[in-house]
Amino acid sequence: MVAEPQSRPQTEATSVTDEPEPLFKDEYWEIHKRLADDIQRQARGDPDSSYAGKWVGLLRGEVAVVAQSPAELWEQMVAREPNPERRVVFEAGADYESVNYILEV
Amino acid sequence: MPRWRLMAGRPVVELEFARRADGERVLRRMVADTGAGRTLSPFHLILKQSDVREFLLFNDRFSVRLGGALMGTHPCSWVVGGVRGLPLGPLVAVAVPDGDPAFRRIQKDGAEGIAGMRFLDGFSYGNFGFQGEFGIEPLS
Repeated sequence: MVAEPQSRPQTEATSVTDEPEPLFKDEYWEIHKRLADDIQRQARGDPDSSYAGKWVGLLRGEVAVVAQSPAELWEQMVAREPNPERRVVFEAGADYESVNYILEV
Repeated sequence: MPRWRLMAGRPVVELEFARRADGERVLRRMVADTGAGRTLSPFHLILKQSDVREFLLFNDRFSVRLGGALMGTHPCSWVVGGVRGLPLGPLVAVAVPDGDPAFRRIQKDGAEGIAGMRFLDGFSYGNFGFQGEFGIEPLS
């Protein structure tokens, strides 16, 4: 007799599609989202892509900064946009899809 | 070397954050948890949303998926923070709702957030021979 597979434990997170609302959203958010998703696809698909492993800053619907380090991103983005809510960034090629387990609280 | 007494038997680190409104530094006690994410996880810290709003540096495009003791997909943002007495820098924080029941459990013990594996991996860490304490020092 073949045993029924055990159901997944309740520790599994929700699906990738139920993305939460960002804490801050301006009129460029949807453009930034599409732009970031395209860059992220490139960076994840091709480790030799010019964005892979870089920190990317988006402002007013465009790529404003491609930095080698978070510190460089910090310096350049703050110089270009004083309002932190309008500075959108991400780490190109980082794994935002896997579940990050928190063992205990 | 910065060192702290364990809190409810857990290692803690005291981090300072720069408030966005006036740059003033604010202290937060964080559980130092090597079991929170991995070195390659896209976040350093887990904070409550109201803290992330107060210390905001950047709005991150992507959210982070948590599983295990803290669940769900949460927005993340960057804050300016670091170990008290050391230079501050940009850190990625997962923003958990203030009322999250699992997050409240660590708050009951007196902590205000979690410093995960990616953050801790930037230091040497341990009790360094002092029982009941936890310390970290920058990697040489």
